[in-house]
Amino acid sequence: MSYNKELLNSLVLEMRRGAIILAVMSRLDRSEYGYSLVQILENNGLTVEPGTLYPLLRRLEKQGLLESSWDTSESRPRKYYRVSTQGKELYKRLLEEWKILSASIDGLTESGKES
Amino acid sequence: MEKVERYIYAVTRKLPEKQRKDIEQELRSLIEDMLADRAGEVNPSEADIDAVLTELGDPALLADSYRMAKKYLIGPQNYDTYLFVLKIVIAAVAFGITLAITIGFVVDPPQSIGELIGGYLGSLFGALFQAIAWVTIIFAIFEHYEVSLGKEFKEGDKWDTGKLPALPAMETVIKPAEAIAGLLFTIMAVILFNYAEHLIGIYNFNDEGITTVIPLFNHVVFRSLLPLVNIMLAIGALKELLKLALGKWTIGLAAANLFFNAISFSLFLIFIRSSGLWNDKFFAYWTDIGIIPPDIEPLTLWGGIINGLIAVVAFALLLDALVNLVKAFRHRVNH
Repeated sequence: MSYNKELLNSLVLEMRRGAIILAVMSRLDRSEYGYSLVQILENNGLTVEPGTLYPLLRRLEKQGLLESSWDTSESRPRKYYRVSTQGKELYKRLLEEWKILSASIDGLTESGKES
Repeated sequence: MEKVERYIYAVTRKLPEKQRKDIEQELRSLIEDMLADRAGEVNPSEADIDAVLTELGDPALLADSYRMAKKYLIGPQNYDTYLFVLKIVIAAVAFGITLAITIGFVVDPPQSIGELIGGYLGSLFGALFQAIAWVTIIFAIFEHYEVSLGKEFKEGDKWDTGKLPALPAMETVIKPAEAIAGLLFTIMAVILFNYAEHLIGIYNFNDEGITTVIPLFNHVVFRSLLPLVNIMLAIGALKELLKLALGKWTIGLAAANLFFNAISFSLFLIFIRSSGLWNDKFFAYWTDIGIIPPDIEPLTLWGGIINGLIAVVAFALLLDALVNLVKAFRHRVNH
């Protein structure tokens, strides 16, 4: 059976959008800069293009979920991000939602196999 | 490293001024990190730079994702309404111009068919471009201020079942045809007053057809009052558009209708009472052909007619405003 590759890509993109936010926020209880975060996610099996991550970090900052500061003490100035107080609360709720969703999908797809 | 700077420039040049500097710096340190990752802390080669920039992808796409929301001239929310209004306006303008040119052709036959067709096409396209431009500008302004047409309440508002729109009672329904007819009429009036005002008058026939027109208005004075007339007509068009968008008489619409009618009446009053508006020759004609006795001053007689007209217009506008207010209120009481 063949399927529409482009359609699959756009659906995967949609699915990943929320997951990446969750992944980013899970690691930003301590300050990280963009590229270090790319590598952390990579090491955990989640490949996120810098071109996707960097704009996302700015968006989350504008929404008040992240805070940022420039560190110019090293040879290369870097912008560090960390989760704000508001972001912490939101992350907890978001994670709960994810777990509920994940369990539901597991249940649904498992029972689908049996019948 | 020039290529890197060119890449950063390509991404940031169309981004908002406020964020540009910050994004530039962050992007630069990202690219340096990525290069260091590939080449170690030695000077990266041209190939390394190419590889890294290729990985980051098309700068236009990257710039797009830095922009918070997609920008539209006319967004998907209002696009259907825009097309709908545009079609009506185009049809009305084409019809109006054709009508005006036809009358002009009868009154003052052109020298050649070429002149006729050239004049017609020139006026038609000129007017169509104007109309399309204005509709587009108005919708672009709506987009800029995030006005959403035809929505009952704002997105952020809490919804409950009470907010479901009431089924319109029969008498409060505004038929689209009614509003469209009003709109067509208004657009035709715009064309008439802007391009063919001198054709309103007495037509003198002789054996070979029409030869002369004695205009009702004094051309110079009328032109100076034209902005007033156009504001009046614009208010009329806005009223019809609101009727079309809402589709029924709500209290808000009825109140707006009353308000608009009041403005229209004030403008109408200023317009019709302006000194020198009427063409002296127009009245002299009636005396000349003996319809008005020579001992009566035509302008005095005309003044009486105008007063009557003002009374009729005032009555009609007030009636229109009140009837629709009553409809709207009665409808609300029922629910």
